[in-house]
Amino acid sequence: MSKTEVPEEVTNTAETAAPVSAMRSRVRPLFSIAGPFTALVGLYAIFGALAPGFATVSNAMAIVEQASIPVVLAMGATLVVLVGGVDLSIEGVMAASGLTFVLLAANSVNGNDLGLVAVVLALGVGLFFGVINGVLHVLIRVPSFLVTLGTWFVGLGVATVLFGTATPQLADPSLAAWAGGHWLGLPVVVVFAFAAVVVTTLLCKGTRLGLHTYAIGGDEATSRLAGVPVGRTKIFLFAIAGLLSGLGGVLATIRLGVGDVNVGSGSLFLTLSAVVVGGTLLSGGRGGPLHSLVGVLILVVLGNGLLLSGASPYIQQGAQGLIIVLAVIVTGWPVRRRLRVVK
Amino acid sequence: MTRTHRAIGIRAAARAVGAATVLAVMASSTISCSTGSEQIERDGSVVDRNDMVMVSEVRSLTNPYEAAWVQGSRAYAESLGIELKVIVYGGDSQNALSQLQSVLAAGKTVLLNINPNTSADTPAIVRAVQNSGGCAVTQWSKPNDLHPWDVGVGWASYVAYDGVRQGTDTANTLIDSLGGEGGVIALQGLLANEISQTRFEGFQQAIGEQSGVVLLDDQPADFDRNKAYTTTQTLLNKYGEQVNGIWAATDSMALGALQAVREAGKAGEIKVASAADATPEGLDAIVKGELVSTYTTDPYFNGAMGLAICYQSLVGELDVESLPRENREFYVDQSLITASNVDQFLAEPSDAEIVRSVQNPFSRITGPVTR
Repeated sequence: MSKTEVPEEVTNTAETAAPVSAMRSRVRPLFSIAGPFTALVGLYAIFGALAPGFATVSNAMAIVEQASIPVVLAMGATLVVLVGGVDLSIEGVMAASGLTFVLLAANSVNGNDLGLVAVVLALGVGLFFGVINGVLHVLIRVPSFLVTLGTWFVGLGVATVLFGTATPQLADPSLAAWAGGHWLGLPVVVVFAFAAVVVTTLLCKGTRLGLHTYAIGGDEATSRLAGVPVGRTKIFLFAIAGLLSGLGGVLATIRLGVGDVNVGSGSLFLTLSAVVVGGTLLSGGRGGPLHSLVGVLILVVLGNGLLLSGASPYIQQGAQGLIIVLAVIVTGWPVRRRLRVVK
Repeated sequence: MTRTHRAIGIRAAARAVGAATVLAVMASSTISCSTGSEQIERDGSVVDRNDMVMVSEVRSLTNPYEAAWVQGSRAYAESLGIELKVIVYGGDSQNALSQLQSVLAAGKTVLLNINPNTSADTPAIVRAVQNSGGCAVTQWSKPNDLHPWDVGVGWASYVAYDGVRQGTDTANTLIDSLGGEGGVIALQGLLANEISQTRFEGFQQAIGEQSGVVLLDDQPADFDRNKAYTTTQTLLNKYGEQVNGIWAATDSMALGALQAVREAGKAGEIKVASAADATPEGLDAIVKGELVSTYTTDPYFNGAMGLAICYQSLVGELDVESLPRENREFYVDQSLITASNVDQFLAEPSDAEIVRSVQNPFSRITGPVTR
């Protein structure tokens, strides 16, 4: 008796599972972005009520501006995380690109004055680091965690050598004007961040590359069998991530006005936390650029709000950690039943 | 690979291992000589210059203060023709000690001038040098209950800088620039950092004595220019027109704050003061009138004076044992820089000037360490 019952049950579940999963796949995008977005709106409302000067237009502008460079970085990090990898080299690439940029543009240390070409070449340095990350990871089969850990320090090393002994100050007036300058009525960094979000989102949602990205993140082995060019896709994604880290480095350097090896310090932690808080799974396949955008905004609003609320600096860091945990819970709440395994 | 080849390979490997073992044993016996319980006591005999190696140990070469420090060390070592090793430990205490130990193990008499990573690193470093028969001068931080005379002649002196004074003087400059009234914001370094705490303490003392100046907010910016920038941006939004001045514990934070002030269109209107470092950029900003103050402890002098104390003690010009305690642990003279005297600090000192400044390495003592 029991022997016959078991297959019947299996058949039943299989039959009912199909329509349910079809329904779930329709609501999934809505649900998964709803969590982090709720957390963001909630935080904004709470600080708006508690902190004087928080819910003002000028502060909202400050938040958007402060979020800009992390957003640029987070777009690259998201692409890599979507295929189940991780890019730890952000800070190193920022440093190498930033110093390349400042030393090629008009500066206080040497006689170069390449203007916009300096920006392009510095982005090239970022791209190069990204390609190296991708190639070592894909062709030599080194885990992305280790490759990018290595290139992080290589980047810092390159930057230290470039730095030499004297701080190079940016002397190109038109590039220096990007700090605090406006294009189309928006701060320059915000324009770059906006462009990065648009391009990355289009890439994820509207191109074959995006399709492949999600497929690889979902199940790499199956994708490979299905003919997805796994290696090429990954190298491309790492390259874009490197390019965006380079852009972040250039923008941060322009904002500081000097070449600084520590220009990216703290960026890695902020970026990866933002990706996770935004709801992109570290195992890959779920989430996306818009999630990370919301993730960055959550973290920046948090820092800004705590500062404005007048909380003691001694407790701010602890409070920040606690609220991040709460935000992750809110973020994951709508999808918690579907997470079969949590590691 | 044929069998014979393989056998030869194995034998060669075995020989190599054997040789390595012998080397390792020899090396470890050398180390045990230099760091074990059997200490090398300096008996007042003079050490030959060729047996000396000078070591200048700093956190990084990308910060202007320490780059200048190393330049001072180099000028002094070159003037005597003694080899200089620069150890850069990148903020890693373990690295700082292990690199030093490998220099000690090389057998020459070490003359060390170090800016330790944290105060807790000092005991291990000075004892390693003491046990090797070398000489160390440490600067900036040490545990409060450990003194050079407790350890021995291997730790000649501890050199410190009066952070309270830096804070008070720069706060007063800021207050003066505001005409004695207005609202100010303070940016500290890392909350857990002792020198940053003392500067802030000095700042608070000065502000406390002025009824006209109100401290609107104080925040840690972790010595980080970016964090100082974002923090200032946020605080300017919060307090708006109430902010008349900003005080920061270091140049890099002051320059970050200055960037935010510029972007808010209030450059020159809001006064910015820095309490330390006198970086080239900070000095430039003072010349331009964008910064009202910074402070210098003369890094060139700091980098050379520690080596000078050690050199003089090892060649017998100085008897560390009989030095008074004021020469073993002391504050060194430092200067407030404002628009009125910035010109004197713009040019780098020549090597000859650096060497001359440390002829008497104790010439700039201002008093005993009070904390």
